[in-house]
Amino acid sequence: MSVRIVNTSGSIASPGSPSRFQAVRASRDREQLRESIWRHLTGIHSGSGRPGRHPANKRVPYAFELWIAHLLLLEQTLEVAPIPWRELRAEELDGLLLLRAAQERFRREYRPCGQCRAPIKGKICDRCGAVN
Amino acid sequence: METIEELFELAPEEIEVCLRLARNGERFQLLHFVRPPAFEDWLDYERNLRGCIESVESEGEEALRFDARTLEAAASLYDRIIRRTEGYRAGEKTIAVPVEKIPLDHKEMVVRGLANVAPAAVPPSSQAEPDLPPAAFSLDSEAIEVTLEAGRNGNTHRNLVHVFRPPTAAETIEFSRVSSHALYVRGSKTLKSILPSRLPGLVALYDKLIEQVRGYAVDGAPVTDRAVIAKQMDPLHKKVALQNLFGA
Repeated sequence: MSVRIVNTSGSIASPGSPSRFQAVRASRDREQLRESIWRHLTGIHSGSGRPGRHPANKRVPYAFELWIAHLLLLEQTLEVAPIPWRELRAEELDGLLLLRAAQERFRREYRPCGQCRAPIKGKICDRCGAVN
Repeated sequence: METIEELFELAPEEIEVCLRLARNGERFQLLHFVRPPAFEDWLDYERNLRGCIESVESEGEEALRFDARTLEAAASLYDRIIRRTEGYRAGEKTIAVPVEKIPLDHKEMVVRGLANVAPAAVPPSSQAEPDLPPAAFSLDSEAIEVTLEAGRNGNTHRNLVHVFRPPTAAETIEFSRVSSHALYVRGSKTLKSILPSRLPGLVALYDKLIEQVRGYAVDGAPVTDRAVIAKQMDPLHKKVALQNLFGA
């Protein structure tokens, strides 16, 4: 199965293959981005101490890792040196909103472990094993 | 490879790339004469690379595997820019060997020779010398220098300096924007991502930030004018210098 690039702004698909393989810009695949941001947040904070490494069912495609890193830089920059909103692209604004929503959800669903301060969701800390 | 202090010519009539190979007790010196690759040539090369990254399992852990069609991309570029070769023999003919007869890996080596540019290695002698009197620590932030080294015609040019004005926050964001552009292949089990060429975005940003260069020449004369730098500077040098500026 070969993937043929038609253009880099929209989608890419092999001729004759309906939609099984389709390449899209990571910044424009909203649903996958939402999912990737959540996986990124929960993967980094899972207590494994190895950011970027996720269990097989929590992997984030590299294209989304790149875009999320850009959104995080954008978010940090906007806090200290606001950039005129006109300079933000629509996909960046959308990405930032998704990032904010995921961060809010993360704060609601996770709390710090009483022992090691690693964020936990259930009662047992993945990192130190303490029962909270 | 010899280090030389000569200026790096940005507008040569042609570039000679020499491959020295040994096989079955024989030594070969194969000369390839090419026209200087233009921006469009490098852009096509990077597009033809079709770089992609996939997630694979390796000993129970996730690993990223990078793939690119290096040979095919190099062959395509080589075929566009080659003018003539010396040192090959095809039957009785020792001159004007057809381009399709040149082995793929030779074409790839030639292109690698053309793309031989990297941030300059810090020589041990530039580390703190205890015998030297203390120097003034510069607080001058008017300009940022990036030094590259590049190979050309068997020589290494080590003092290729690019002087940039400090980037603004917006330009830092622009660099991040260009560098984070990637495509995701929906439906792929290996979470395949495609890395398109970032050359146009990086070159445009370089042209905005560059102030001056040292170590380069056009028709033998040192390059001083910004417009000339933007027009004549090798796109790969622009890319490597800019990535170094932003610490990428």
